[in-house]
Amino acid sequence: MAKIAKPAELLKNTGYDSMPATHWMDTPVDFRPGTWLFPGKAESLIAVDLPNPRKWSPEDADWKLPPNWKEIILDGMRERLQRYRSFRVFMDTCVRCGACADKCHFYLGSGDPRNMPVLRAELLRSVYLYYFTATGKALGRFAGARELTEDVIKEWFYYFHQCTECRRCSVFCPYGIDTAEITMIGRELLNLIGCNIDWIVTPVANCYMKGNHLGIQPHGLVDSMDFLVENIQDITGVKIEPTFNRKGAEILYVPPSGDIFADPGTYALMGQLMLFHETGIDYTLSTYASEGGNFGSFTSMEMAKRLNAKIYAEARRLGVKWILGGECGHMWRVIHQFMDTMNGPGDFLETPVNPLTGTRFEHAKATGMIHVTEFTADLIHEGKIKLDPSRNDNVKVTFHDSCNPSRGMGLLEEPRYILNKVCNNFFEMPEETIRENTFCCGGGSGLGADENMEMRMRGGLPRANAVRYVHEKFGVNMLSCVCAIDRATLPPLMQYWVPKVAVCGVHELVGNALIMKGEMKRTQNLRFEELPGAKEDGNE
Amino acid sequence: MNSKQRTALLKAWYDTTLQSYFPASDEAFRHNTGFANPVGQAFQESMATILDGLMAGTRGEDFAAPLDRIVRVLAVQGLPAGVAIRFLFVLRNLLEKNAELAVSEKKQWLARLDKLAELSVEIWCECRETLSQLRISELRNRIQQLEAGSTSRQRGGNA
Repeated sequence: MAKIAKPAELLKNTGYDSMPATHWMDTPVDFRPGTWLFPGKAESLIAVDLPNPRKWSPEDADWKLPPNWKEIILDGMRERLQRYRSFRVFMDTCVRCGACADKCHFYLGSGDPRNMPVLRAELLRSVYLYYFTATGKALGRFAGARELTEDVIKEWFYYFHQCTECRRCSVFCPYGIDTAEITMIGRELLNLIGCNIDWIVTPVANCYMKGNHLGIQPHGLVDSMDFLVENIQDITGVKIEPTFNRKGAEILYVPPSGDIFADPGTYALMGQLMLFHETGIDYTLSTYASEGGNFGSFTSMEMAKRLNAKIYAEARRLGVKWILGGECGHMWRVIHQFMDTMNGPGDFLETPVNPLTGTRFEHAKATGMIHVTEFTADLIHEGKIKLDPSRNDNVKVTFHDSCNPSRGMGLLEEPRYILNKVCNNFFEMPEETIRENTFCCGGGSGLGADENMEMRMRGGLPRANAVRYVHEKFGVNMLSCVCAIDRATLPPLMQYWVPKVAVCGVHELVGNALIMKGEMKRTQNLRFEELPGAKEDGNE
Repeated sequence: MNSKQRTALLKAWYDTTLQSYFPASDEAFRHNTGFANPVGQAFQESMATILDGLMAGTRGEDFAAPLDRIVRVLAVQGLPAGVAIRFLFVLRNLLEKNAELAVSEKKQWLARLDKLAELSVEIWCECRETLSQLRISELRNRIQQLEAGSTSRQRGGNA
């Protein structure tokens, strides 16, 4: 077949050869709708004292930056290079080996080279080299250095909001460079001159002012919880009475607020409420610390600290012994890696002990806080709850390891242990797409806005591709996860790529399978759908 | 077309398509396989099905699934419909320039390609429509959540 033409020959003069003619440093960003996020609203910036509040759009030529924006960014870089040794090491260490290059879900879904983690880091590193190293100052472009211009800021804004801080690339870096932390610094610097996105800044302002990302006021929160409690009673006949802000409770329970207000997270929360009722644990919710998630961590470390502080403040005020956290993703990166040093020590709390099993969660001694799947897996392991997994026989389930619980805290086994006990049909996705190699949902770290839908579909393609495989091979029709952002971003991802697969939290399946004391004959699952076999039983 | 010719044709089709759509990343996409390269996996598997279907005289509608896998990827790459179906014209180009294939065979296959182009445009439109619907759904959900937080919720419905 020597007569087959070469690709370049075939493409010649066809208009198909669209490779940019310029070097990446000289190729400006094309802000195409569907691939960028709306900027932060001025009132939200004002609410949390963020600089340069204004009305602007990335599509505008003039971004209305402060007159001394360059000085602010370079001072900000200098300060962070001094404050975070990791940042300087990450800037200096990379040898451009490319091990991370093809590990990013955005790169795999878009083919855009600036989404290779190595090149995304280079967006910042090139400026570091120019202003903070002798080689860069002397050799300029030859050493990979470049001057900071407004176009560079625009490029940072575009590409640092095409990284979900999932850390998959860091798993493959031989030097252990955490590219997610480079993105975090990049976003911190952008925040210094008011270049942030509304999907992050407004939830941050809401959380600061009202306790949760959605800005729901205390009475709305209680009202929504009442609604879920009524649904549980309709389905099980069991009345549950969760309490709020109750002093003297043993446990403070902090779920992500998304689970209180949005399906399918509500079903996962219902499952948790049912479990807490059945086991009779002494817990309370809080209307002040009503958010486990922390969009502050997508803004700056200071903002993450500010929002996270509510959890310990409330635990201290209520006098609880320990804290139980819900099915959330990035919340756990903050809790596991930062909370102890940010707002700790949590020495006013006790090491969490499961009151039913006596299990001491020694690994959580420093923070006093455990993940709800750790709690539930322990209950099941010790035989403290009764389960009927056949109630989930209508679903064939797979599990998406959410980036932060898996790579950020090593929570790999507990959700799987639970799933294997509460349903009869559990199937793993291919090995290279799960556990610490998991692919992101494509909408984490504040990128899950509707205006960013096209980019989300690109970023979510590697995950969806693995789901498609188990859907076609095993008939999987339910994608479970332990993250509220996943429960918001995976449903549209599935609707686009694998339409017959729904999304649920792990505790929704727990709630379905849980046999409660005094429950009526269960005929419906937590979605008010008929339970498998309910019709035949009714005819008997 | 013998098996050697088929393999060479598929390789040329895949390589040229990658170079056309992902000019800066075609090398990386060519080297990775399986789940490490979802775009490549979708393209390679679907291209083989399409080529075999063309040779076997498969009905037009039966090409919908393999075409969908390719077009669905291209529909979120910021390309207009005409460019998104260019991979079929790459195949046309390859077939036309291939001197080893019998003229009568070529003629049949090229005629079938027109139907595939029509189908691909329909799929592209459907994908873009789905994207718009997803945006609308998210906006609607957000409004409902805000309403739920500020007023009493109605029982028996979704949030």
